Amino acid sequence: MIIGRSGSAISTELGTMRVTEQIDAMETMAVSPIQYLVAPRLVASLMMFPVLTMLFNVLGFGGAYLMGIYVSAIPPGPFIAHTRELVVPGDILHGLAKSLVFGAAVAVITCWRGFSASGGAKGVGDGTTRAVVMSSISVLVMDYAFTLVSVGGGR
Amino acid sequence: MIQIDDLWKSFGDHEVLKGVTAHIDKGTTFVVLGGSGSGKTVLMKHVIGLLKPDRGTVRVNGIEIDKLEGRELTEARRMFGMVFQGAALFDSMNVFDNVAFPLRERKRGMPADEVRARVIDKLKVVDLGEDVLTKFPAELSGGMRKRVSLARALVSEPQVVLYDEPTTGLDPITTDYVDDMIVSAKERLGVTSMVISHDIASAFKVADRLAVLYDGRIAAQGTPDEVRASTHPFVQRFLSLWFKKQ
Repeated sequence: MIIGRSGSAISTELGTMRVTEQIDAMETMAVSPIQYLVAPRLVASLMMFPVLTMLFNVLGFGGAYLMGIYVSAIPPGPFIAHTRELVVPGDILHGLAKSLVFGAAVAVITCWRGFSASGGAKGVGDGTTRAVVMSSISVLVMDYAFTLVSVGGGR
Repeated sequence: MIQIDDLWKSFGDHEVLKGVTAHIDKGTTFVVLGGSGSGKTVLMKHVIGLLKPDRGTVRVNGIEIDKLEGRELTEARRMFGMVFQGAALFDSMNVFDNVAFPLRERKRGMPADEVRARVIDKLKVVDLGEDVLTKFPAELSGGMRKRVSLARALVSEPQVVLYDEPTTGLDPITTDYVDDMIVSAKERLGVTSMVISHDIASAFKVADRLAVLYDGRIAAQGTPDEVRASTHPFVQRFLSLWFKKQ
């Protein structure tokens, strides 16, 4: 969801700035586009991915609670007790650690594809498509690697 | 002021510049004329260090721009202002923020009052009033965008201003106005200017010296009269199309 919403926006904005020479203009004004455009987006991603992950955790728990209590008729007490039993603080920290890495990867990939855009509107569109596809695949691969390591570490 | 010596540049197998040599004196306007794809913009991007040559050198005020990297190159770019073909205004910022950008980023610590005064002063140079300060680039006409772009290029008081096809896509009246602005910037602020163009009328109006670029080489170079008298077949054909109309 974040890649579709924010990753594509980053790639499109930077791609448009590249093909309309706004990034070149910044360089000619002795301003580093990496510092001015990439660094704030990287920092924002590193800050907001964990925040959004926590938000989605809360929403996910809330959704599960509503479904469990009102649709599946599970009593609230056992639902909460089982959840506390199954979800340990380490799980939350594990998710937050992953979100930090995903945030960095998505910011770097989408900024890089935006900076690499060329050839007008089509180039910006192609760059955004590549950014979203590469980011999504990267997140899946890294998630797999994280799980492999954590399962291996748990044995 | 600017000395370009035997500049060569290729992109893959395509040779764009094939030994370009030119010099630009301080406080003068030098125009590079040439057809589409002749390498004009590539030449200009070498002058400001956006591209590195395969061979040859570019010296500005004695500094070899092509040898600089990182912080040194950034420092050297403080000598320049550049007006892009499409104006290249930041579309997420209004006119004031666009023109103030070089001051805020390059001269950090400058009081806000002084930034505002200098922005308004430079907008006056290009004949724009305070009513445009809060407008965004999308709300401006092509001519106004070019003028704001020139104000942005001049606001940090550079020694050299580079113009990339400043009159392309403009109507004749706005073209004439932009030509006057280039001459005015030179006369009022004493800047050295390099103009890339295929607009012969504008070139002959603003140039102290000019060069015609053909197939990656300088086909003719000198004062407007000297270039007009050139016997090079491409130069004759290129110029005759316009002079016949006069």
